[in-house]
Amino acid sequence: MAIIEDQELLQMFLEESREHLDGIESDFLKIEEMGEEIDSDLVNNVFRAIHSVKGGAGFLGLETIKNLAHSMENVLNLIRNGELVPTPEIVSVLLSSLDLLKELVQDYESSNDVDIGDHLAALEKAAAGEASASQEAPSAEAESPDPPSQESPSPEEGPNPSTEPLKAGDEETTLVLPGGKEALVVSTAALRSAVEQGKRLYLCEFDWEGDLDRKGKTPQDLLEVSAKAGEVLSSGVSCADIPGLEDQVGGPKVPFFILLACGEDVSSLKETFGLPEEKIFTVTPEGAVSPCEPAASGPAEEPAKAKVEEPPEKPAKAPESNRIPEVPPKPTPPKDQKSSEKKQASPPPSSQGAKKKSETKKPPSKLKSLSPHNNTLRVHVDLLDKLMNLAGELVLTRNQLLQNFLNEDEVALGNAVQRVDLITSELQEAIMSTRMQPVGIVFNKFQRVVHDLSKSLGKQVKLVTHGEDVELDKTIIEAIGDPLTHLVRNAVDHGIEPTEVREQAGKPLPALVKLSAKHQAGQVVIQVEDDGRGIDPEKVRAKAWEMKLEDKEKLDAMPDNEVIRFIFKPGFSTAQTVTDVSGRGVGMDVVFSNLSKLGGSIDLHSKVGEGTRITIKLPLTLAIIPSLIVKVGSSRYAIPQVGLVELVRIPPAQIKERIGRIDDAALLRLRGEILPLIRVADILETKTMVSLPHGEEIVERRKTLFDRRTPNFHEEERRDPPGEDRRKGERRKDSGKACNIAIVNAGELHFGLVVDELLDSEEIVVKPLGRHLRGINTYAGATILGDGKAALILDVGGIANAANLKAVKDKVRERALDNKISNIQDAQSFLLVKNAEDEHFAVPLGLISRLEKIHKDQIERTSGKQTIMYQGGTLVLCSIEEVANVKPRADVDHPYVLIFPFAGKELGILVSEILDVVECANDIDEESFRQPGILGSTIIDDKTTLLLDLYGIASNLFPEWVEEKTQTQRGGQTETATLLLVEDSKFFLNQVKGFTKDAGYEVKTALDGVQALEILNDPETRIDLVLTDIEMPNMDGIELARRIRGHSRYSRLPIIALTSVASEETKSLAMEAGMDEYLIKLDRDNVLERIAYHLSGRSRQG
Amino acid sequence: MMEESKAIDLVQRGNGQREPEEILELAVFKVGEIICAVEITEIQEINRNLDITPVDNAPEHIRGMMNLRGNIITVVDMRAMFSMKVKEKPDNDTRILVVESEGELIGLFVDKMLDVIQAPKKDIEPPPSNIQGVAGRFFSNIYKMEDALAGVLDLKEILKTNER
Repeated sequence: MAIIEDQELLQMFLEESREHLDGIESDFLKIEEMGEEIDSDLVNNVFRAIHSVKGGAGFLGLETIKNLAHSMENVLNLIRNGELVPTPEIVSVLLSSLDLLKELVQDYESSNDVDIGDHLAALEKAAAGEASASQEAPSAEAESPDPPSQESPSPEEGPNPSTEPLKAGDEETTLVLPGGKEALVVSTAALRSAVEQGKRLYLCEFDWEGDLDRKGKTPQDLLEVSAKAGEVLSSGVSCADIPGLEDQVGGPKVPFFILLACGEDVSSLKETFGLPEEKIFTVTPEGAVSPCEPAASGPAEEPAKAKVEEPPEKPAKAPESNRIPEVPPKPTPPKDQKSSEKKQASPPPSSQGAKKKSETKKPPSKLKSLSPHNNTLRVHVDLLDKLMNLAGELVLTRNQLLQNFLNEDEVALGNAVQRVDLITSELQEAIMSTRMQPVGIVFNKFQRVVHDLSKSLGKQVKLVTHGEDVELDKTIIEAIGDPLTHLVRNAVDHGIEPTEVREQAGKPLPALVKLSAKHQAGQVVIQVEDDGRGIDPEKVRAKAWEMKLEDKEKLDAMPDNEVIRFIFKPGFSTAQTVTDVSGRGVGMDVVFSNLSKLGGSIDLHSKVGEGTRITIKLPLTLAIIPSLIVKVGSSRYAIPQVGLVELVRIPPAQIKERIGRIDDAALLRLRGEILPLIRVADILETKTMVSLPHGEEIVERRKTLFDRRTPNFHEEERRDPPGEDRRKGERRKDSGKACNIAIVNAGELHFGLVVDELLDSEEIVVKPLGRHLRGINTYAGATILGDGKAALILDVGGIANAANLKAVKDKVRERALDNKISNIQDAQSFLLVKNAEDEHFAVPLGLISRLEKIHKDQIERTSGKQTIMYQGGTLVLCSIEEVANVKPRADVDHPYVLIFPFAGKELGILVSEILDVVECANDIDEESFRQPGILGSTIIDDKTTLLLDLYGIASNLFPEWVEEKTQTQRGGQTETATLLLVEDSKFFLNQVKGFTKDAGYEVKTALDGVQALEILNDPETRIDLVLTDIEMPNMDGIELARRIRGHSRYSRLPIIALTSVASEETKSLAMEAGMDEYLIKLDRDNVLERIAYHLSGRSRQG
Repeated sequence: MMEESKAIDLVQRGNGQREPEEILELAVFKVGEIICAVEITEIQEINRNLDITPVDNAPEHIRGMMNLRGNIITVVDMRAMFSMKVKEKPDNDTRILVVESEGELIGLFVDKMLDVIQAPKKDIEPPPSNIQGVAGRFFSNIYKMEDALAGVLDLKEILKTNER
């Protein structure tokens, strides 16, 4: 029965022990790895950790823990001295003992009732160099170890072995007081050596309560005093003879013993400690204790007496297992023993406790399960100081605030408020950092997991970890343990092939499992990677089909990387045999949902035969998260920034264009992508406050969430008076009619949430919801907004599920192709700008290199030119009205400059306002508004918009620049080259034809690939270069390029792609098809330059 | 706030009296026409901050949630609980009784606080078996007041989550 006096002390011990024990596991593995070449630092480290656990446990009377630690220490000592080679078997024994030790420390209250006999025996065997083969369950014989005297027949055996059958071995002696009380366990070697040095041995008995507590002393004080008087050989608490502390109301006696070796006599000791005589005993080198007399004649007075006196209440035979730790067989000479045993606080096993143990012993496995959560946290003192400082600052500033408020001093008040702001953020940061812990805490334990697992599976696996220093919030650290364990186990069990298979496949051994953590964009990315067999999408398909998760056709059509995500579905496992490790068909879905709960996401990449990589993204902390506040109906909601991709606002006029539908699903067209749209209001149906008979089904849910959606959009459209108020420039502020969309992602899924209003970005504190609301998966929690009102936090993943987005996505995929085909018209991105108040202009976005907002005072006028200082140089500016016949630019304070390259330099065009970037596939009217500087007109947002001709403007204003350029470009060109221009849009055809002709080339045109081939095949014509659009009817540019390249005659013909969409995908497609260049239409300068380059290259070759 | 201090007053007055017999202190309030009672020791506070945020998709007897000094608490609409027509808007008499249940604070949205009374234990009886439906289910006891009956709420039953 453990007597635990001091809760605080106990807590400290437990914390420290946990820390010590957690730290050394990986050290054990390293020790095993190194085998005979022992790193003594490493062993020492482990030894120290175990030793301090032992010391603390002894001090607190946690006998079982102490005994186990002691036995482990013995083995380690042998290893340290090089007398024992740490074979895998021995390390296994140590590891399993370590596990038990951890359990015991965790459950210290009942630790003394746990039977550790098996482990002790195994350790003993290990120490004897014959580690038991089965680490978990040492054999039954191990429980009755050989008498220690046989193993090490030491001549220094206690003097009266025959009268003391239970005597604790050759190395240690239990000091038993004359009254029968057991005091301390000490090493006989220490006793002997002290006596040899001519010192006397005294055992001082202190009363914890009377001598320590009441005098305000700590054991530490006592020990310090003792150390002055002589050498402290041992000290500790004996809890043996205190049957029921609570019974002894008057005087609970918790004796605290110090064994002192000193040259002084008893009377001086009496003075030093203020102890009565009867509390000081003399001790013989053999360990016999006798009451001292004022003039103790000699240390070895009654050597046998104390030993013979059996404590009356002591059971006839103490359970052997209890004794084993006291008698570890030691082939080592006593010298070594001494060094490790010296100065240990190790009280003897209690006879009382022993009795109890024999009755209530239980196997270790019956300990209650470990809780991984620590309720305490160690914080660096510096950090604490910083917090103190900040708290002080806060108080000071509060005082200032009050003062200034009373004085109505607004300026000072403002300053104080600002300080509060700063201090609060700093305080928040500091407090958050106390919660941050390195992810290595979790990673380290996987060394062991992989070690044990690979062993039991007979595989060779090595775990490599990276980024242990990456810090995460404590709650997250605790929560990712289980999911990660599962993933690592999966990797070893399912991912890594058996050794033979790997050998056959020529894969390296040992197999690698990589665990890494890194910071990325405000999140922590953790990867579990293995180089095993990978996940076979076909198997997953088959299994998914078997489980009827999806239709066969759909499964076949699904891309592989999506198919393998099925393993996150409940009950899914592709392991062919169910092992006890994993593969019970539960797990990945749990991992998935656990991580989702943490606000994390999980991604899976796998290649058959090469391995699997699982990527987990986690927020740094759960407590405070940046969020976007949106409004739906009358309520506000928070969307965590983590899931947020971008915000999109669709003006009313574009709703019809940009928001389409497939069957019952609404879709948003965004930069060529098609995203499902969810109306938040549909998911969160406003609750009807209507009474219903008790117990009846409450709310009638809409059958599909999209039923009402599309009409809603159209409704909005109808409500929109065409073009009226937009003319006043209020369109962008008019949020009632535009469609506000927050693009979010849940895992790999991107989709748009339609909300009524986008409000603000706020850092919110996440609060849990009450238990009645916890089951609603559309919410991730609640928070309190700035005005004190409670608001819900939307769970993006939950919403995706609620809306059954999966189904929508499938439809999107089905229709995406159709869409592409029907959408073959060129959609060009235009920058929409304003110059005069009511005139809109559009500029092809691809032509503009940068946009700058300037102040009108920055514009300088020198020799008739407008310039500004820009990036250390001078940028020449021009205005549209200088060339084109349009209204002059509105005089605004902050005009914008569109910067574009021209004739090898940069030029800026001034405009008054930038409106938007739009994609426009509308026809361009080249006739009505054609004039210098204007290419034509089109209708964007129901408004006539003029297309700016940047080159027209520039060359009109600076003709000399163009000439210079042309000279240099055409310098070496003597013959007139013939270009073939293939383009289906008449507008672009004319544009490009125009400027290439101006540059002096012959230009032939074709409207599609088929026509182009006809021209090329005409033996009469010689074509020097092909300029082609990519997307065209009949035959597109890519196919054209392939055909041209397929023809021997044209194998060297330069082909330049001209396009409006600069997507990487198309670009690489184009390059594969054999195109030489990939340029943006209307980027005249560049196009001309590249044409010249390719033509000159050709002539060089030809 | 006033209401709170009044409640505290009542409690103190109650404590001041000598107690010849075992007495329970009950907070009595109205939900619709039903008079309900909750033992005063189960109530943490009576609040008239009615800034409740509705929670969509929640069970229909949940009125919403609110900020109680930094904690989010769920508010149960007692009218909905008793299958009555719920009030669209709180009025001057509406109160929120904050009770603790399974380590969590929960607000009960009630129509009107009536009184805090001293109820001799002998006058508190189990509900008669002929009370069916709502009452039988949610009342653990019935207290006979001078002019009416008050049902002592079985908070455990009312705040149960699994089946609703």
